Amino acid sequence: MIFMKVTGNKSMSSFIKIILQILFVLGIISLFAIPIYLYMITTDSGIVLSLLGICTFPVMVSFLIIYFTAIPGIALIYQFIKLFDALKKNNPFVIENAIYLKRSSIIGGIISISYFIVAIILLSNSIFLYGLCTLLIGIIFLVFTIGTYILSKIFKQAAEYKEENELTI
Amino acid sequence: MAIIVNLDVMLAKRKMPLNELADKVDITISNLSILKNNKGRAIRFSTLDKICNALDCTPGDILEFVKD
Repeated sequence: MIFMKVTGNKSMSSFIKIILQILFVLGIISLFAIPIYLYMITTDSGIVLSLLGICTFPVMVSFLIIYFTAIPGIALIYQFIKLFDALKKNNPFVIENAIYLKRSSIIGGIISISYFIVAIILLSNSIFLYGLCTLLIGIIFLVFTIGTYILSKIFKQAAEYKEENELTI
Repeated sequence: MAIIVNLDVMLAKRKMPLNELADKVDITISNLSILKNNKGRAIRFSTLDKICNALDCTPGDILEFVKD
């Protein structure tokens, strides 16, 4: 693995692209499958009663917010598929890649804010363990957002330098 | 840009086709076309030197400054 090419055909980038495509499909499937699965198990009255026991209103809201962060999550994977596609074509420093990274940072920001909201809801309702875990994920996504934003600026600068260099005869 | 490349004028004066110049200065036709059509951002002294040698002219014959 370590001796593989980084960009181009049959490289690490193409390998990661395949994994991302699988994740993308699995993400869409689970996005639709989870509500169907929940609907199927809640037809059992015993489970409904036990769910009502643990699911207070703030917990339900938290679950819903976390569920809907799957949509930006899938969009994020889609941006990375496009990015790795450009890497597969051996052409990393193009302005499109800077745009994909910038979009990723915006999506990461949305996910991060959602998780912070959930953390606040959970912590204010004295659900400390899950609240702290959610806070941690929020912080990770915040770092991801800042990182991809910086990378997008670097890629933009690199693309400009490359264009300048190519147009110097 | 205020700097205009008059390579086509010099080529016409010397009655030299672009591909012949490309052969002489060892630069691809596509790069010379970029230069000729004023699409280039910069020109290296070495390139200018080669073109001036091939066309027997000075940089002032190829480059022109027009005030905006």
